[in-house]
Amino acid sequence: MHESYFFRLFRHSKKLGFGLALLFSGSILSNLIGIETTPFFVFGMFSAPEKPQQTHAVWQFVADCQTLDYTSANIPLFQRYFATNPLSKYHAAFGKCPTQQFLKSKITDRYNQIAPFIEPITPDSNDFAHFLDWQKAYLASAYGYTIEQLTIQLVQCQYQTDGSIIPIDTLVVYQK
Amino acid sequence: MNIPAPEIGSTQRKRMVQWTFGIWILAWCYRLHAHVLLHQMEAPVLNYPYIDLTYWLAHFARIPELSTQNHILAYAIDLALLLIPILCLLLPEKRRYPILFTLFFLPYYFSFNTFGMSHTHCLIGFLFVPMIFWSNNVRTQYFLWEAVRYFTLWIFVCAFFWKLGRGYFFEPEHGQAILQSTRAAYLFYQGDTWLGQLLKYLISHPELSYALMVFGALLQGSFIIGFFTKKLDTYYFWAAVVFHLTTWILMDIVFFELLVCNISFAWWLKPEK
Repeated sequence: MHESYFFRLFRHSKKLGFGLALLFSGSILSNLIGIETTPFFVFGMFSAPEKPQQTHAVWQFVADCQTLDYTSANIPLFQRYFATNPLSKYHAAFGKCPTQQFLKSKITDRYNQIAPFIEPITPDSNDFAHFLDWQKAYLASAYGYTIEQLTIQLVQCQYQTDGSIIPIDTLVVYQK
Repeated sequence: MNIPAPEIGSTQRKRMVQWTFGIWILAWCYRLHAHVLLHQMEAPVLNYPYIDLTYWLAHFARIPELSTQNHILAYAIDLALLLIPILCLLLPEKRRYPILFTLFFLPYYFSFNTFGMSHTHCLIGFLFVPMIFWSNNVRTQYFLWEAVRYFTLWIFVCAFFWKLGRGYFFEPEHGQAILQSTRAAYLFYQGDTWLGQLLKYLISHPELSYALMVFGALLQGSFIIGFFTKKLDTYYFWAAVVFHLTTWILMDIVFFELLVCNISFAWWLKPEK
């Protein structure tokens, strides 16, 4: 007991002890309730059991008739992440802020009470209207091209029994 | 009974500072190459504070917005995030530079996550580890170093318990499903590479991908012993490296920056008794 970390820590400095005790207890509590508030992180990613799906959608960027490669080894992961993750969120949101939508679904009755706080700091319809301009500017900047016309396609792919994937349908979803 | 607390002497502090900020400089270069530094983000328009109140506060203060929309500020923060760590390497005994680093790091941290529209954990090591060097007190540094060690153990153990609690181990097709969803784009575009062949083999053999996922989860669970002894720290050092490397190669998830927390397992950086 006398050798325990927190015992020694509190003997060294009560202020530091309380700070770290708060950090650790907050982290445990956050994980118990499943709500993350920095710096109390929840480490539940990829923990929910998933069933395989035969079809998956893959983004395809065509800049002035040239398909942009975002998966090969010379494209860093974070570039791929920044090029596709906001786009996936934008596509799934149908012009509505994901943060607001999530809160509305969880606290339907009380949403109006927090709306004055959350709505000024989350994207509005004007931000959504400018998203594709940003997407084009980011890709142009990241790839070092001048892009006149960007076509964003969603390729529906199907997994085969040997693990390979083949396209079954291509849909032009955005053009800018 | 008074038990003498171990200390972090000046030599250890210097080595720890070098490793911490050396890793950050590598991460900064990778992020420059990946085009995700503030000045390269092209002033994103959609943010994602989600239900994290700290992000709400950051957005109330307009920190992510100002850091990305004002080009001069964006360049200044990016440059500071390179120059301050260099100063830390040159003057490891000074505590003002690690404090300054954290002040400049926070806008980057919030901007990357909110405009990337996912609250990723890859950068959290750089939120905590530099705090060790905020103090010059040899014992305070020791206790902070040990806190980072417990926090690193916690990351892995917590991830294990989430998997255990949600029935991860009872879904034999989980490994296949995760590889299919995280690697669809890669397999579509690069299916013929050696990695593509490996991924296809794992996807077409669900029992093998399940075994790998279970092995990874058990590896995470094994960190629980670290709360009771430091004897396995060398194993934890390498286990964390193998874990992050494997998730990078197989699942396209980059957590290598989290390896900065490994300085708490590094046998050549152990505090003096």
